[in-house]
Amino acid sequence: MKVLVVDDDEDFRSLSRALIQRSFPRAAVAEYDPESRGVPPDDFPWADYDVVLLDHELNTGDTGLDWLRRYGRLPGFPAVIFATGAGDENLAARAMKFGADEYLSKRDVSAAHLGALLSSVMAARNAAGPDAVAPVHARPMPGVPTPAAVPGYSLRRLLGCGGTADVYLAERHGDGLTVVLKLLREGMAHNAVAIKRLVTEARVLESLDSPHVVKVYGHGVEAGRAYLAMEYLGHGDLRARISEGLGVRTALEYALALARGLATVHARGVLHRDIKPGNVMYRYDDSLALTDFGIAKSASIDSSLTGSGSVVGTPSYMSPEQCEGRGAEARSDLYSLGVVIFEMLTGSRPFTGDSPGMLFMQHVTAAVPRLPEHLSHCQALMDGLLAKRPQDRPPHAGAVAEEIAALLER
Amino acid sequence: MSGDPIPVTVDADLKDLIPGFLERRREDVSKLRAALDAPDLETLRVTGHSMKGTGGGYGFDGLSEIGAAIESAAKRGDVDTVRTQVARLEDYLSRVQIRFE
Repeated sequence: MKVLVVDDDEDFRSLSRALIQRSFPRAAVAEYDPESRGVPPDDFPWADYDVVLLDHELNTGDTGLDWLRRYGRLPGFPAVIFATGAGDENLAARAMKFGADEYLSKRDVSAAHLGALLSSVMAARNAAGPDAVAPVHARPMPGVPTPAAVPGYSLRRLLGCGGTADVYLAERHGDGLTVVLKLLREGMAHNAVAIKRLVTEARVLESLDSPHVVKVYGHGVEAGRAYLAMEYLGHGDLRARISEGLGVRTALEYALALARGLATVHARGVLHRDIKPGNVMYRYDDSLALTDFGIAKSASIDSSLTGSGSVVGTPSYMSPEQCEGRGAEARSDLYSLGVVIFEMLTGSRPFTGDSPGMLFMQHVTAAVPRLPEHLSHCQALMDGLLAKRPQDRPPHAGAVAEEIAALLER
Repeated sequence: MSGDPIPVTVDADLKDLIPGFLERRREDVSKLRAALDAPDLETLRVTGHSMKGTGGGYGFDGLSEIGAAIESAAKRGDVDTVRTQVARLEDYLSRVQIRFE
């Protein structure tokens, strides 16, 4: 087997060579540094290789996707494993559209994983014959149901599994738009509550029009499986950014966007009820959006969906009234927003009990922690948002946005 | 930010590559500092991106995390966060303790 590794990073090329030769000791591995060698000439001997491991970011002015478009349909072009940095699954779908056979997130690179990918592409090539060019959209992916499962969409990659639904990266036919498809599990076909929740989430999102809320493109039920097609937010979540550490100004800018998003949500009579960093996602332009309205509630929603008086939410971020099972109101979301802002500013949550019961007690009775001295100008904001009684919090999300905007102008 | 050693287990097959790999990360510290002084956000982003892409593959998940943080902060022009992460990188490199297996 002959493999060509195309990457501008010497360390990644060396790593790939070592890992490939661990799985395939007789493999011949060649390296191509696009930064020093530039774009391959027209007579580049692509057919000499069985597989190309192609990085997306080539640091040459064009990208791996450009190379795929330019060379991918040449006769004898090798199988392609397309590599990107973590969190760029959006590019994976596009790379496969342009003919890539497999996708490698560099975060997952290991001898076993790279070996499995190479085995997979070689097996597919051998089965199809030496001159075959695999048709676009026709390659099944591990763990993904048949691409025909949802008319109008091609499923590309399993992104995650929830309690009742699986989430896929998918491509919409017609315009090639990359979307996230939330698809109810087959076993849930007769679960009326699960179906109704998904449809409710779709209707809630369709009623909201804010740059700070995830967009929905469509929903429906096919063969008993409800699905929801949403905007793909491919640049990670707030949880990861908090763990990396945020500057004060950045934290307040995110807080302002969240408050404005909540103002839109509440103006439509909707409560989110699960505001937390994992439900705040980023687009490639670094703008943020609130996601996961799976337990949201609006005036038009059947309260039996979440059980009247039941406790819903995430304990670390729940308001005192939610902890006590007294239900949520708009200012409950503001409390949760306060917890998120506290965490963005300090890197820690205000209350850190090691059990849900302990956390509930802290939310209900413990005093609001003092911010460190350099953040003291934000203490009044925290005291207001984290007040125990809803009536002692700011009256609405718009007022919170104004308060944060004033802090940013200091 | 000195402290206890950071133990990292690295694939023995990569043993020959590690000295050069870590030396280039130390060079990255100087490169990032110069880019911060400029400031040169594109160099900050590209250097962070590369570190994110290769660190974990060699076994240094901490380097991938720092690289991701630098890339992300550089994209939004947050040089304060980049500066913090460069200090974290230097600290990491001074404390990392490798065991091959």
